[in-house]
Amino acid sequence: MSRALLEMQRDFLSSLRKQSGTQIETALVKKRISDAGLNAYLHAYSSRLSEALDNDHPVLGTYLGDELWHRMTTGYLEKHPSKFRSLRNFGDLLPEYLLGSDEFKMYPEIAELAMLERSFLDCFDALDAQCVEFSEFLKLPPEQWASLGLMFHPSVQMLDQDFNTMAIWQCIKEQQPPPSLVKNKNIWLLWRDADRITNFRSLNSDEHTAFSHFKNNGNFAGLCETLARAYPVDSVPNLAIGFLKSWSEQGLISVIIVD
Amino acid sequence: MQNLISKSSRAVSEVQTSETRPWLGFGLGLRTEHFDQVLETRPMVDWFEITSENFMVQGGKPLHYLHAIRENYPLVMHGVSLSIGSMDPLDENYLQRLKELAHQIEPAWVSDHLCWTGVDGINSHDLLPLPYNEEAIAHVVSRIQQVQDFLGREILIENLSSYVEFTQSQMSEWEFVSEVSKRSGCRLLLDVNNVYVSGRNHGFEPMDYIRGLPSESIWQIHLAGHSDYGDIVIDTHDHDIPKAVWDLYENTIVLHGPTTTMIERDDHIPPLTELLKELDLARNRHDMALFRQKKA
Repeated sequence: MSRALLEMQRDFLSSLRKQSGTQIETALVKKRISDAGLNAYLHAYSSRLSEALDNDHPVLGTYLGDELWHRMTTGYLEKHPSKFRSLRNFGDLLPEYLLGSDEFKMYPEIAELAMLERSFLDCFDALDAQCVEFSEFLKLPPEQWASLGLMFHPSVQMLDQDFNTMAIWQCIKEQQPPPSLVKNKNIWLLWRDADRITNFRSLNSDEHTAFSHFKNNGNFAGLCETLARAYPVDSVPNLAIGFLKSWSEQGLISVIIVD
Repeated sequence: MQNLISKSSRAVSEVQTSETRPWLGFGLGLRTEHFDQVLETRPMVDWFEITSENFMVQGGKPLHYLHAIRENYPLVMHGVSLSIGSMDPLDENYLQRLKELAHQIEPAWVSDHLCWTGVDGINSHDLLPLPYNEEAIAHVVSRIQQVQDFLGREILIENLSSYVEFTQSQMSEWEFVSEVSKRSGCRLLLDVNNVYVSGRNHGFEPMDYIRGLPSESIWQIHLAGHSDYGDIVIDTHDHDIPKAVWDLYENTIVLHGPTTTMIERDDHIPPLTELLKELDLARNRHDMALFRQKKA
């Protein structure tokens, strides 16, 4: 039913996306205030969506400056019109857009900055969950340790970055001039703590191995085997338990999985 | 009468509303800028309205504050994404999340706008007007009924401010709104500022609109400010409520009787103390209207 209503909505939305009211103003809209009225909708469409990106990406906005920011938001809006109910998700494809855009892909830190800010957003409103204290591990009988697995807090995320993007982000956040871009591979851990504050720190190679192992449903025995390839066997249990201790103290672990 | 007030400046018994209309008193839109102050100072606000979508998240600070505030205040849920007039199918995932949030916080009611926000899966994130004709009424009524069935409750639908009129319209906006309410059984959230804004933009007399609505359907009133550019008035919700809107509000209460009222401020959010003063003005205007009603 209602072909006319469907066509009207398609024409109207198409005008908003093209930022031109000519398609609908004569056929569908009464003349009384149509020019000013249509312009109000055209302006609201682009400004509301670019404001959403602005709110989500304050550091990226500062890094790019007004002109590049405007080009980025215009290009993103054209390529990825919102298919989300909430403006909270409108920018979800921004890192992907920046990696694929001819204009922006030659500056890889821009996509990394966008990814970092979206990861902070995901941390901020991830599902709530209880955290496990280290004392819970100490209650486990020895026979359960080999099969022990972990479930991390829903806010916990790992972020792989190839440049000194975090340093750039921190400087801009503190209103300092950002450092020059340098290649600096890092793996970052982001999480929300018990006070609902978002934290981040880098992971060294061993901790990254251990974290990824549990994230991929590995167990304690499997981790010890992996670590034993690089360390003396007697030191491995302490090294692995050390990870469990620091992770539980930082509120990263939600569930201990045992057989 | 349904008594939903937990912390009111005015007992429900002092306000004679219609038997069928619940009375919540005078509320404010809950804004993140005021979360801490609301919890610390417990201001004299009878209830808060939340923007539903802001809390349709999995966890973290927004929900933490919401639940803490809910312990002390009644809430109503006000959405911007239902898109009841769109030709796209209703979004079941959105409705499920809306229902889950309502289950968590037990709002006095749930509302959204008489509009469409997008089509073919693309969302403009704007509240876009419909043509006022039989075709649109039939479409919207059927969808409101589906939503009400799914949520298991009546919803409130809010009138828009609009900047265009469609050649396809065959009736006034107030006839359209009244008919949608009558046929679907939904209640009305009457935004008095929107009536004023659209009246200025389209050249109708705001009181004609107000007079055209059925009193028993108006469960809530929104008050807000706007930006006047001369040839067009835009519903910006970023200013104090101007005199013309206060006058229209008072006349609305004289005509339709006591109605739950709130101030909706979405941008340039002032300190909470300023909004509380403005809410006192709403109480005063409401009292004055009831006085005028008795005298008449």
